[in-house]
Amino acid sequence: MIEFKDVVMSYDSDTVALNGINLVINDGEFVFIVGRSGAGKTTLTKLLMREERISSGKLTVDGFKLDKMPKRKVPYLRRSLGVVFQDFRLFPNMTVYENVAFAMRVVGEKNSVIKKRVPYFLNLVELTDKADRFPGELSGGEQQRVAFARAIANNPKIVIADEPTGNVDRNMSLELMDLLVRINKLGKTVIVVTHDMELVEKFKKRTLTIDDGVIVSDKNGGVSIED
Amino acid sequence: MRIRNIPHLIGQGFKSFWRNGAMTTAAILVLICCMLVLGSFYVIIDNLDNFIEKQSEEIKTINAYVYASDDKEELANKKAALDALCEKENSNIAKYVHITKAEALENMKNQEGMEDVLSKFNEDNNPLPETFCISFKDFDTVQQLMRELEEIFGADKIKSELGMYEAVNNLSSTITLVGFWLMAILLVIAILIIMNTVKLTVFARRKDIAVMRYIGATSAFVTSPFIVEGIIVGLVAAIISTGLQYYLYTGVLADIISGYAAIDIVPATEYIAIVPVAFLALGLFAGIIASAVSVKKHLDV
Repeated sequence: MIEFKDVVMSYDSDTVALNGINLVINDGEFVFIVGRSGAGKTTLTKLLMREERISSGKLTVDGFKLDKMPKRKVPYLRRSLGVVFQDFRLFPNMTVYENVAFAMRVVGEKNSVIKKRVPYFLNLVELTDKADRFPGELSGGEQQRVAFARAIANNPKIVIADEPTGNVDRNMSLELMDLLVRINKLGKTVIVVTHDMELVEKFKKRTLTIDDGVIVSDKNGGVSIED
Repeated sequence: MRIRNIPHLIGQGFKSFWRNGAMTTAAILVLICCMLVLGSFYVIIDNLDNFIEKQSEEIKTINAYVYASDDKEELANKKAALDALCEKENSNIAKYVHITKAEALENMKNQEGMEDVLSKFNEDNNPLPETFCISFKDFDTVQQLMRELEEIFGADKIKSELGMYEAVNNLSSTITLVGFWLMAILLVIAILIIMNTVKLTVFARRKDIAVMRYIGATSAFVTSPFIVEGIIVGLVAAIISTGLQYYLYTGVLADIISGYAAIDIVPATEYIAIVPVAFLALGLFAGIIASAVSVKKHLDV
């Protein structure tokens, strides 16, 4: 579960990125976070990953109390999250297989388990035949699918996707969203930050709208473009 | 960090070394250049120092003469007194050589162009004195030894190059001191250059480091492959530099050094114990410390 209680995050005294956020996201939910550029969407995901610290309030992510958590525990928090970025952020000098395996090595997984599970995840994202390719040899959509496989490799409870369809075409966007829905059906909480309202409208999931650092709407079943 | 991760992290360091070929090659080349500059400077200074030390050893003597050599008893007495001085506790005499007047004449005649000049001298009219070449141990207490020798041989029968010895000795100390500080400065510059190069190689991969952190890698997990890579870079640079330094010394520097003065070049084998070890120490130190410090800067994401 993710819980924000009166969370304020300011970069300096003049710039308040998030102001008085109160929010609960339960296990297994699928949530869109939408809003215009600079509204505070990315800051919210940065807080979840503890890339940024909250200025005041309380934030709990999968049992980790982020407002009090010491720095040395950050890696353990991040292992319970699977994160996908708009720009994929794959290791350019590792093959597709190694990129996925790397996430498992980070948590100290046994080689035998890695050998068994990486092909399973590559199969899930339909990249089995490209296991030995380097990211530079793949299309944007394929790279994002590798990022998805890496994000779920350690069986995280929460998957955060920050503009996952930002660098791919419409068809691939739909495919990636389908993949996220499948991941959600595996019982994982999925949070998708996007400004693509067509996708939000199509998939009809809980949608949080952020504006000027404040949650201005929280609707189940999605929002329409007119909203 | 789990123990089962260690082989992977070492392997990762090796892979990274190959896959980041351009940057690791640049780091190795910079390391080799620094090592060769340092190594060449060291062998030049050492050769110079060695030459001066040899020169000073040659003038580290006091000559005592006995002219009344026909008086066998007096010569024997003086030799006995010198032997007693040698055997004295804390004697400052390292050794002495007795050159008879006949040997001295023979030696002089053997010098180029002297045979004709000295042809009229023989055993009966040899004007040269008996000579005792006395080598001393310690320059600081040599005046005491001079007084003792003057008592035995007479003040006017003692000749030494103490002033010259002191000057040469001071020159040697100055060269050692200046050499030491120049080496130290060069070493600091080399380390700074190497660290900056490694920093650049790490900077080029700062995004990878950030991603590793995003997926939950601990600091040790992220840093270890970079340190392994740093060790390999240091090791490869040290091995190549040792080979290059050998050829540079025997093939180029030795000729240059001996070309300026009649210096006996220190054999390359004398440096086997020091130069490769110093290169290795510098390479590993620079590789490990620079990698660790550079990675640490990018861990905070």
